[in-house]
Amino acid sequence: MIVCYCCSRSGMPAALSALEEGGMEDVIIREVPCAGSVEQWEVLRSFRQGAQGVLIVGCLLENCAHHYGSEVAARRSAVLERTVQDVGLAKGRVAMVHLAEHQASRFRQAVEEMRTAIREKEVQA
Amino acid sequence: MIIAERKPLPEVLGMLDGSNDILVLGCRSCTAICLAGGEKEAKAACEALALHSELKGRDWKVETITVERACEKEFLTPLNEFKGTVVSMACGVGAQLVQELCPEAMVVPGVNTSNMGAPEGMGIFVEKCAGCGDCIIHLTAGICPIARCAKSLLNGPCGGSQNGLCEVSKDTPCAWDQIVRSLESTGRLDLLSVNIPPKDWRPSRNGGPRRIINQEAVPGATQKDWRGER
Repeated sequence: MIVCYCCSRSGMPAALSALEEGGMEDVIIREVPCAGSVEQWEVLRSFRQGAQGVLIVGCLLENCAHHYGSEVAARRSAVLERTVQDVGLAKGRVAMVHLAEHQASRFRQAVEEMRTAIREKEVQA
Repeated sequence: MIIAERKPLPEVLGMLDGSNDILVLGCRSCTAICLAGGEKEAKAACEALALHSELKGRDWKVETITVERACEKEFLTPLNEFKGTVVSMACGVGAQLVQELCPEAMVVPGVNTSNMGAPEGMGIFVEKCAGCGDCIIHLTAGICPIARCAKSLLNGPCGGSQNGLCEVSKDTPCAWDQIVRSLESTGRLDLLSVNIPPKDWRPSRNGGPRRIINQEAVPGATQKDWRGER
């Protein structure tokens, strides 16, 4: 299961388009007003609730609807990536994706990359 | 305020061997402002510890609470003589008070307490006061040379001051450069000729823990009686 925190301005429309195309049964979408509003504890709790990976999907850096929310989210996801490794998860389980609302393919690509990261760890285990 | 930073998670996890009941204690005062141990950080630490426990099968019961000010006993009543392990996200003062109030608990520091300072920008916190117990900033343009000069000089600047920066680091302004420039701009350069006698370090860190007594606030016999104190 991959939980995607999607910014309502960019990530959400892109994710909805990707969902319409199908093949996203393992993806759970959580709409947030801005990627920068996603807190560390929320992401960590998602893992406790069964997520194998978490994607934070926000606007392009130069085009964030909240000016710098996407930038904040990118820094936070870097910290979270370190934290989840510290607690015992494999690398690549938290990722930040910057995209525009029409970039459903970018969203699909990010989900596929996350699936690969999860599969690789399962093979190693 | 007190400036602290989060301890690396592996270090905290290493201190929790043998724990079962874990309480992550956040503080809404100083450590919340410096983004080290407020409610959000305590919740994140709680989730991280719980996740670690689930992944490694450690069977920890992890909870979190955040108090207004962990450095005052009155605010620590929610701990209710807790007997497990407390991961304190409050400063060292709070952590010690928790241990005092919950003698059977094991207190583990979740942050490294650093200094007394102020936010300089978003996410940047700089030491401003060394708590030396003998303040002289009226002579130094409101800038503390004890905390902000790398050598704590009272007669700076030294030869290591170059272009307004301290030789210790290019990110550290020379406190004495700042003092002289500030005095110059306010027309108070004469203060530099005030003879500052050798500093009295006795009120500083030389006599063990310091105790300040405000006689006005110390309860008298009747007040003690009313408060049920002896």
